[in-house]
Amino acid sequence: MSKLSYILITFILGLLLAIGITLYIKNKPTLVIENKVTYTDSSVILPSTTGSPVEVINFLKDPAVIADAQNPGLYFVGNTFLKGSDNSVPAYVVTYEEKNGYFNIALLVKPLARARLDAEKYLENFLNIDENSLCSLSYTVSVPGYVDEAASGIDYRFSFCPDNVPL
Amino acid sequence: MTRILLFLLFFVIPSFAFGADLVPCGGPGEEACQACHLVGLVNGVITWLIGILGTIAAIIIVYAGIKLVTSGGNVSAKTVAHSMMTNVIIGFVIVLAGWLLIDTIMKAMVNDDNYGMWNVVQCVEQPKAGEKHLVYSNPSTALSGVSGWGTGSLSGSMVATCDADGINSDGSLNYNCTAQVAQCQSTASIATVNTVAGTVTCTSSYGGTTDSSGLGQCNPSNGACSVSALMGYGLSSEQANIMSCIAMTESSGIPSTPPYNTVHPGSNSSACGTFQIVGTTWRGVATGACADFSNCQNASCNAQVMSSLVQSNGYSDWTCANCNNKADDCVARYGGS
Repeated sequence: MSKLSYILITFILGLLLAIGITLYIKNKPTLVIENKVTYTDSSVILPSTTGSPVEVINFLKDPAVIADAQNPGLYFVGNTFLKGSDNSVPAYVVTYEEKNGYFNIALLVKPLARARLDAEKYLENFLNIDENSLCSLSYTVSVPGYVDEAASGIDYRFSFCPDNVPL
Repeated sequence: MTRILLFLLFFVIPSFAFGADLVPCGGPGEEACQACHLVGLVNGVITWLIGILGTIAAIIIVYAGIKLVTSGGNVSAKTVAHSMMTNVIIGFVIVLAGWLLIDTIMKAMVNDDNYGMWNVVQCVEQPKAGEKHLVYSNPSTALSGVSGWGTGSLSGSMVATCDADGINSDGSLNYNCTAQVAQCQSTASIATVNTVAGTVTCTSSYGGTTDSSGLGQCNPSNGACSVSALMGYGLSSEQANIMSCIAMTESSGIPSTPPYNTVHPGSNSSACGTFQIVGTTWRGVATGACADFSNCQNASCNAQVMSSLVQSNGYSDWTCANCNNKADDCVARYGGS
């Protein structure tokens, strides 16, 4: 075998080895952490800010959850702006974004501290999770400017969470 | 012959002139040297050597060709010329295949479509302690475990360096901070971009950990008014930061907020939706499918009208007298980012 043949065979083998390594690396199972919400028939796995997802019942099937006609993928949990779940004037509104698993809680009546307590108690019971799990969800608790301008623009968090702001 | 070739290589061929640019920093009008430039220097030497090799290969091929033509009936000279040409071509292919091999492996390992050629090194200015843009005094620890964050912290704020993705006409680096802003916002924090220094300062948006105004922005998961969502409606980064804050103060970032006088029949205010836009303003701006005020609770329509208002009037529709006293605070807090 000539010198040229040796070089060519070595080169081809090297190339095959490189292609093999590349394919192995490309197809190697990798740990992908995605901040996404997962839905099954019976449950919803919500993203958590502390790392461990929170599994709850599929509350979107609950009749208390009302789809927002103007915004597909957005839901009212319990109250709407016009009517509380018990037909009273709503003290708070909870909206849920299906895509991101995000809860947005607006406090609508004073005293605001009372409204926050009511909202967090409602969610705790509705989702059937403990306070720690509730704290780890993606959520905001705030006050619209038309309710109280001075109190608006701040995320108050749930009162029992470490990062809460007193009301 | 070898001596002539070496003389040509090192004193005549233009490739050698590239050697003068191997040190890319520290000279007049150049940025100060940092560790990254050492990598740039090694990379420059490799590129320069490949250039030299190409020239050598070309010269040897020409030399072998001349030898082949002038060999006449001399079989031995013909064989030498042949093998010379073959070896040069194989050698050069191996050099180039090596480059391609590393490029392919690096791309597979990095697994990022935006990853460029492996041998392109871009040095970015590192954050320095005491820079004026680090104005927020409260710490965010949310990114302490995230790669790239925390190394430039000052007074607790988390800082990351943006990716350099080109060079501006004035010679300065153009930064792409999209990834860093997204990482910051994924922890529900506020991203403050410094486009000159190419840094992102990440501060918690939650109450008790913000500055004295206490103003936050819509949650990054809020599709109606997060900073990234608003940038999708044509707002600049600064405009989106300000309007995300204003949306929080106006409606808590809830697009479904009905016209105020629907819930409070005694009122004459029709402020509606994420940005609490009133009917008269809406009708003067909204077009197409959003034209009718009944669409004011639609997140997309409300954001489109808001964007048109910001582009034509700035923030005056919210900062006007008796409109929203906190809107000015939002402009002050998030403006100039």
